[in-house]
Amino acid sequence: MAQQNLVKLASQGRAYSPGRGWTAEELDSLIALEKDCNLARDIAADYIRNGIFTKEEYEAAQEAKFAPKPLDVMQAEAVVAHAESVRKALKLDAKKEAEAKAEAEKEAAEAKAKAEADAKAAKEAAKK
Amino acid sequence: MILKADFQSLTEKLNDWFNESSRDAIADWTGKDYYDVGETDWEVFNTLNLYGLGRPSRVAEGAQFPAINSEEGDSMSLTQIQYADRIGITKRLRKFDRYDQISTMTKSLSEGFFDSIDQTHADLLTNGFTGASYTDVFGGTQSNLASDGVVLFSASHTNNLNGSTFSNLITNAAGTANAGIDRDPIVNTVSAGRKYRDPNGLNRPIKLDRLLVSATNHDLAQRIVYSQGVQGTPNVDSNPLRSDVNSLVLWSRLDEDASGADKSDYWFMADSRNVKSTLRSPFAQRPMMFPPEEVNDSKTWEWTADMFYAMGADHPKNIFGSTGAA
Repeated sequence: MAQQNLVKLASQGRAYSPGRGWTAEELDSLIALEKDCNLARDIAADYIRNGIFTKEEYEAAQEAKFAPKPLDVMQAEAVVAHAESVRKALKLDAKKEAEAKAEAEKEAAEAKAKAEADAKAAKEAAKK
Repeated sequence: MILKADFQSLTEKLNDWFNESSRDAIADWTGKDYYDVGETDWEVFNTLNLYGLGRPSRVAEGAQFPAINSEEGDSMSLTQIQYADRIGITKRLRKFDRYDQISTMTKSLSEGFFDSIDQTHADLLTNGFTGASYTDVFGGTQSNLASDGVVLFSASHTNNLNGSTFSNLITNAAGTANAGIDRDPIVNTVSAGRKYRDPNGLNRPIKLDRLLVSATNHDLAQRIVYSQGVQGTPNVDSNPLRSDVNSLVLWSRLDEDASGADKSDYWFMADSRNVKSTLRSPFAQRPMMFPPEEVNDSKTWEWTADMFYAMGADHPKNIFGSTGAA
């Protein structure tokens, strides 16, 4: 299995993230943005990662004083978002588990009561 | 009947068949001429390709010399993967002395390894134009990115020094990439290779002297390269391609990849001196066969064979490719 040094490449703006390289479209946009707007590659990469692909979009972002989030900030946010989704999923699972447990206990109690009633009825029938 | 006492002689026979068949399969293994298939003891093989970043500078008296350091280039890791197969010499085969079947099974075992390796080597090339990975002949996922993180054949390969890019797509004189096989894109690509400049702007000629084609395109390629005059024209001009391309290679595994996709229009040009620094396939163990250590409860004697190797594309400047679609 071949593994490129994506951590280093991403830090240089030569890969989308430490998890994957650029797609062909993203790479074309990156190089065009770099040349058209005279940006360093790592800066141009931050714009691409923030969804700004063309010179026009870059200029509009400049006018709006939009500052792209750098890769490390995006990664930190992604980690927090992932942790939050895991926490929610675990919470939901715990709630479902408690409900299922209560339901099972209720069914077991009902079954026990029914069995006791049946046994009592059978005993009385035998006495008669 | 083959008895337990015959075990040693049977082992020797199997080794002979395996080695004889391997010898023939290795002779037909085209990929070994273009991939670095050297042996390694490393489980994770690390590469480093400086692609011409280092060069001397003028220094004043007593001044510090410039240094090349390993941080300048690109690197990648190739993790060894084990592949294995086995043959069972059953009680029935031994009882009736079926040497004919035993030898066929042994030869098939060895051919299977080398044919599969060669297909994986061809597939990295034919699957090296889009996406980030593909499924190889063993059903595993194989990365098709070069060490710069870009797909092996791309118009926009990056470097670790500046924003310049280079293309290793075969292009015709009109600038159309992925040109079909013809004299014009061969001439243009030979020229582009010779003019290649490293990220510092120093000319580092890539001598694209090997032409790799599918069986489908072999006849056309032969006529383009080996015609005395320019192929397909009535003139008497000479055809210098005969000296530029010193080897035309028919690689039938380029016709179809492991998934059965038709790749017969794909073709490639390689720098025979340096292509092995681009295409890497280190072996921790070549295909080898091992006798059973003990007879198992089915009375079948099982000979096993396995190998360890990895594969990947380092800095891609030494091989150019085309899908032939343009």
